[in-house]
Amino acid sequence: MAAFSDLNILHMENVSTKEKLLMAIKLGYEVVAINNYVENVLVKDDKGKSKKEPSKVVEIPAPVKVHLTERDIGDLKVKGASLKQLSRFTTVLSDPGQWRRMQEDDIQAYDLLAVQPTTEKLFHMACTAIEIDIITFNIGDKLTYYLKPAPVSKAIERGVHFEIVYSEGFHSSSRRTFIANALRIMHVTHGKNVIISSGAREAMDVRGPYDVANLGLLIGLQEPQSKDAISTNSRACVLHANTRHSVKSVISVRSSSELKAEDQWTVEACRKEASEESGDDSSESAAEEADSSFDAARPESKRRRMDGV
Amino acid sequence: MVRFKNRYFVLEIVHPLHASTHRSVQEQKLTSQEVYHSLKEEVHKSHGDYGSAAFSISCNVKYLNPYTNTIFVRIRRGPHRFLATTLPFIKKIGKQDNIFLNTLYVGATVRNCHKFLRNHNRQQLAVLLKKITHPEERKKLQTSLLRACVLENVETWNTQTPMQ
Repeated sequence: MAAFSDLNILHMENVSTKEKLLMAIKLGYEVVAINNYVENVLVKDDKGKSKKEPSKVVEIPAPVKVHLTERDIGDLKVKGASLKQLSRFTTVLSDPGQWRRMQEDDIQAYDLLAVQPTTEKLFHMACTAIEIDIITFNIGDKLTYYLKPAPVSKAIERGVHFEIVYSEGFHSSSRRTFIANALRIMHVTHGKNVIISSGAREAMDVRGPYDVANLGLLIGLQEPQSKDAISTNSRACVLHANTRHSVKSVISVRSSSELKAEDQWTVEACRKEASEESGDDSSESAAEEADSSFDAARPESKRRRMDGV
Repeated sequence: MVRFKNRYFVLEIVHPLHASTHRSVQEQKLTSQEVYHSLKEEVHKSHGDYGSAAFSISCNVKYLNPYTNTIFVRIRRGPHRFLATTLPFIKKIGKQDNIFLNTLYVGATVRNCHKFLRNHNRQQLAVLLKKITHPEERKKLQTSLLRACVLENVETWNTQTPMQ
């Protein structure tokens, strides 16, 4: 079985993220995503300016990674496991133009992208069109739109996941809305592509993986589905996110400095091979050649589009 | 004859990380009655009269360890779902506030649960050894481990330098 994962540890200004991480480690989570929540990626000036005026650029915080020592992950080490930290970006989708902003590099640098649609139209867009990994809901408040089966099944086909944030349900005022919303999501997805995550505002909001699986039973998941929601589905979600950074989900480019020491020889070997072919020993021209041959292999339509850019 | 089936929940009371070391055992003394009543109250909140009735006819707290914060709860198979789905919502037991329960294991017999707990506690000792940096405390733990374990295993621990 895939490792237990919590894909929503909320990063906040005044609460220690490390403390939440340590709690998650103690409870046995092996994959943890630290969530940066930005309410709106576009800020428009309110003072009577026309809509065509370019909106102000919002500063996006860089992905957070908490430094943990060997001692901090002792609970996992004893079991022979290790911790995987991911970064996640969540925003409220209230305007179709926000997607253009989200395609820029500073947001694409995050491992996981999540949106919280506010209307039925935008929910449809999130399910069918835009390249995101997680669709989340403000689960503590009443959902303002109806979840239609058609876009949901399209989303399931595309590998987009729906998120249920359980920490909202711990406040006695919102417990009913939490269960009601979760049931609605469950009703329309039949438990497919659902992930359950903490969204913890403080360390005491995180629950152990088995308790979360039990919570899944409460909102109408079957037992195996419930376990999948915190393990297998989350892994599928992370893999879906990885494909976004690659060409056609097959080829990806990394800096050679990221390679492990024992694999460094491959760089030298490739360089040598390329220089032999071109008869030139500068690695730059070899890289260029590789680039152009890659360009030639691409279909006509795509090549033109890239040139335009 | 159909067997009368039970489920035993092995639960751990989790305190906030920074506070756990400062509390004395006396301070966090719990009685099984307190545990039972707070569980029942919470089941009533989630599952209403039917849930709490089904809970009350078949549940009791079997074992309580204030040193390791572990509880065994027995409940009949069937109504155990009411308890299982309620556990994540519990935030308070007796006078202890700001805690939550972590399910470690669900077994069908007390014997199985004890077996699990023995292995679990043994693993926790290794975790403790990784976390303790104070040399004197480390030494203490090592000697007590030495008494409890086979010699060969401990020798490797002895040679390890304390982690910074």
